[in-house]
Amino acid sequence: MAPLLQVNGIKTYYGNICALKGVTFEVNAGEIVCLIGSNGAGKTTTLKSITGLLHPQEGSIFFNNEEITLLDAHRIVEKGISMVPEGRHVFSKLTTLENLEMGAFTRKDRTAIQQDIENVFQLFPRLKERAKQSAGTLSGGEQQMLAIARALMAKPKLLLLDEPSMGLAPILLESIFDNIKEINAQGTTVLLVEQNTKLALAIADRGYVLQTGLVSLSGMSKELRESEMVQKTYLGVA
Amino acid sequence: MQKIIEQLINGLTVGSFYALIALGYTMVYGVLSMINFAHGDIFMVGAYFGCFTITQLSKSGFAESNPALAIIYTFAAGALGAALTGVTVERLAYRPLRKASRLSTLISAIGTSIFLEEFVRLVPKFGSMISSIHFGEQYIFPASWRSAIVKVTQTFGGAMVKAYPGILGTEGIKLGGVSISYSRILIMAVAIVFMVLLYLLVRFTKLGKAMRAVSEDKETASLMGINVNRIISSTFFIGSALAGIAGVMMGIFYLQIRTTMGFTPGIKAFTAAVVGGIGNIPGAMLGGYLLGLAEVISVQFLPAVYKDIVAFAILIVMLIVKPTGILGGSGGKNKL
Ligand SMILES: Nc1ncnc2c1ncn2[C@@H]1O[C@H](COP(=O)(O)OP(=O)(O)O)[C@@H](O)[C@H]1O
Ligand SMILES: [Mg+2]
Repeated sequence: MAPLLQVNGIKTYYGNICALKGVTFEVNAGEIVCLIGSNGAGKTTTLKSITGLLHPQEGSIFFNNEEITLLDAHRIVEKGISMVPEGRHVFSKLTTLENLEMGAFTRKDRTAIQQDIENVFQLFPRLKERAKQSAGTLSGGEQQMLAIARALMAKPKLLLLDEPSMGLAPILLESIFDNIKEINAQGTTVLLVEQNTKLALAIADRGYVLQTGLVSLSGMSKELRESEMVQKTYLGVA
Repeated sequence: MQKIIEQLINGLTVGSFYALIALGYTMVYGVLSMINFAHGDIFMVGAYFGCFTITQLSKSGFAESNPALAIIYTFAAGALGAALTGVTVERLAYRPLRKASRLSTLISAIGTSIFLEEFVRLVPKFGSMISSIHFGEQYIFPASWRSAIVKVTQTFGGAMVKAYPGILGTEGIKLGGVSISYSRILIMAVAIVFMVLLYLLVRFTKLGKAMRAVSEDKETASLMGINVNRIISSTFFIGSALAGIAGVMMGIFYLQIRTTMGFTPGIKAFTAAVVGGIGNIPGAMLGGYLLGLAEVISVQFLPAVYKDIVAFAILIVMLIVKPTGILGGSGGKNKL
């Protein structure tokens, strides 16, 4: 079976700056795949290229056997890809509930949307207490939950997460990563971008290491954990 | 006392114009962070569409037999004409410059403003040019079409001041010694109705929520599957329609319109939007009425010719003292 997401040698630029120099990887249906790499490696650029916020100048991206390389961002959401952007980017002036409704923007099935709002409230009970509050008044952890919940409201086949651990208190970290595992167990494929390599490799099936715009290493999480290069560079093992 | 109430009503009437026009400035600023300096001319175009409609309806006798319907059609034509103009302006003059510098967009807006004024002024010329296109002896339009084109374009635009057929006359009601003309009542009522509708739309509908999302963060909005360009078009449509409604009101109230009529109300409504907090919808409404009232109050103490100075003095003081406006909140970031 063809992979759910296939990224073939994409090169993405910011003006003249080449941020991705030919990135290739794939995500199979049902997996959790992580993309690790240090600051500036091109992880966010990769996700933005997939979601259509940026368009690669070379290479191609296939989702569900369909080429999406040059589609606009709002069309790619309709295909079944949702992203939790780096830094959460909740709509701070909208309420929690309105944020969730925006997540379901592409859907028309009102009763099912109501049901899914209940479902994400079950996943993140804290959000239910904050339903009528504007999102800007939520704590960092709650905003991260909201960003994930909002992305789920589109009922994506593939969920992209850009550094969900960033700025979270250690006690929250584990629960957010448990949430991600649960979301995956319920049938959503996950592509996870992380600088917290240890946590990422703990929940991912496979991983890719990105270095200055290129994939330098890939393998099952176990293999990556045991790789000397990963241990030295990303896990801080001397 | 009676006089004060009459002046108050006067201020609220003028304030209704300013508030409706100010909403367009503020909504466009909300989604694009730009001042649409052609907005006053979109207001003018709305007045002309309304004028054309009511003139035709009066000529045919329809306005006399169905005055209520005639008024509704006139407002609808003004709103729709202005709305389509606004959407076209955004598409052709602003969207291609979305990623360019602010200065480019500003210059484009000023150019658009001049273009619209001149276009409406020259419409009859275009009409006679189109109607006289011919190859050799043969006109491409039949004679009946040719005279219709000339007539329609002459009724629509032109360099001369156009008279707005008076639909409501000067009559009115008397409430305890205070007389209020029907046209004032109509203007205030229509303004309130549309402001309430706008508020409900922005607060509670899917489109309104998407507008607020786009105003806060376009990139993230597009990640929700929101077609950002379509939302921006809708914003121009609604803001321009409100200006068109104000244009029709102005015609009904002052009984004449001209191609340059957009300038002063445009700048004053801009002032109102800044006073209320640019980007903030209730702020634009509040600012409009405050400015209307400030003007009539000033007339009590200063010669009437100073009226315009008052508005701009308020603008300058506001920009110095509280540039984010009364309801603007912090850093001018409070949008829609
Ligand atoms: N808006 C931008 N303009 C110019 N260069 C950028 C921009 N965003 C990112 N870059 C550059 O692209 C490279 C990859 O950045 P990014 O994808 O954000 O890295 P990561 O998410 O892995 O930290 C970096 O060198 C960064 O400086
Ligand atoms: Mg990043």
